[in-house]
Amino acid sequence: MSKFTYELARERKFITKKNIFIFAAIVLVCAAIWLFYALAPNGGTAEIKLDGELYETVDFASLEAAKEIFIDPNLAGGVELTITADSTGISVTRATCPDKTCVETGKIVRAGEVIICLPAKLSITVSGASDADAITY
Amino acid sequence: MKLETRRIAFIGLLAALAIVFSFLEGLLPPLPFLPHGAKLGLSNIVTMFAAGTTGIFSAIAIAVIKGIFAFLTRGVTAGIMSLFGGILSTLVMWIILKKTKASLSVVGVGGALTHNLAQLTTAFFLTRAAAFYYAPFMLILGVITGLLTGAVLKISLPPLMKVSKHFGIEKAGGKTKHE
Repeated sequence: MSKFTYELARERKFITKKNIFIFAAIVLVCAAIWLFYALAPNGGTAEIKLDGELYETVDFASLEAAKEIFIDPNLAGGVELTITADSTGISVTRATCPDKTCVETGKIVRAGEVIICLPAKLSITVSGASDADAITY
Repeated sequence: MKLETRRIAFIGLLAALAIVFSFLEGLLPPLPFLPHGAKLGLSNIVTMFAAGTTGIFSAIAIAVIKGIFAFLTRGVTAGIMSLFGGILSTLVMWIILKKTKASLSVVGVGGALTHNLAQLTTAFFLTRAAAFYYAPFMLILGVITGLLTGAVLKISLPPLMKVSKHFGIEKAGGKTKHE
């Protein structure tokens, strides 16, 4: 059995001024990146990738009606996935994985936004504007 | 009861507590502004506590038990992430405790950031670059939960010291210092 390390923790301070400064710096830098994400313009196409390989590119901004994409479970670690895209964005609407994180992420539309389904090794990334933008906006 | 027996029982209690924390965390509603699937890492409180009291081996054992629990209840991916993140963060917290004189908040934040980075790395291997979109969210979350775990350790140590004999936690080297 290991030696007790109780003494190691007992006599320490909780925080120092220097610590606060470092933590604040980390949070500020991350918050700035976050703001940058939030202000990104809407994208027009989405890349669906499985295991890092491009599976399909969807030009969702120019869709007139909702489009459903079914992912072959054999390519996605046995997970059945339904992706729904329409002109307002793209989302995973059904997944048979245990955690359902990808479904809960909801619809994405801003350039750079990502949906990830780890059990299926799936990622959906919104990228730049589509050709349809000239007409739509 | 023998000291060793008490200590083993205490480590068992800590492991149960770690599982309860990770279960309760799953019941929380998704955090506003944060990516879905982001976890607070509350059970880090327990592994940090264990690393600071009963030692590195028991702390790692608790991380492994927690990983097995995640594997059984939330699937393979969650299990790998919990195991990888749990063991690495426990190691980092213990090294900071052992090798530096850094404050407890640094120990907590160091552990939480390691936990989140390990999970991001796992996500990166599964999906490639896409996972890094979540990095800033995970880092902010790491600082917040790290401060929380550090604070819990700071608050819970003095009362625990008073009852330490009952749990088989004796002061290292038999020293009796008082704050």
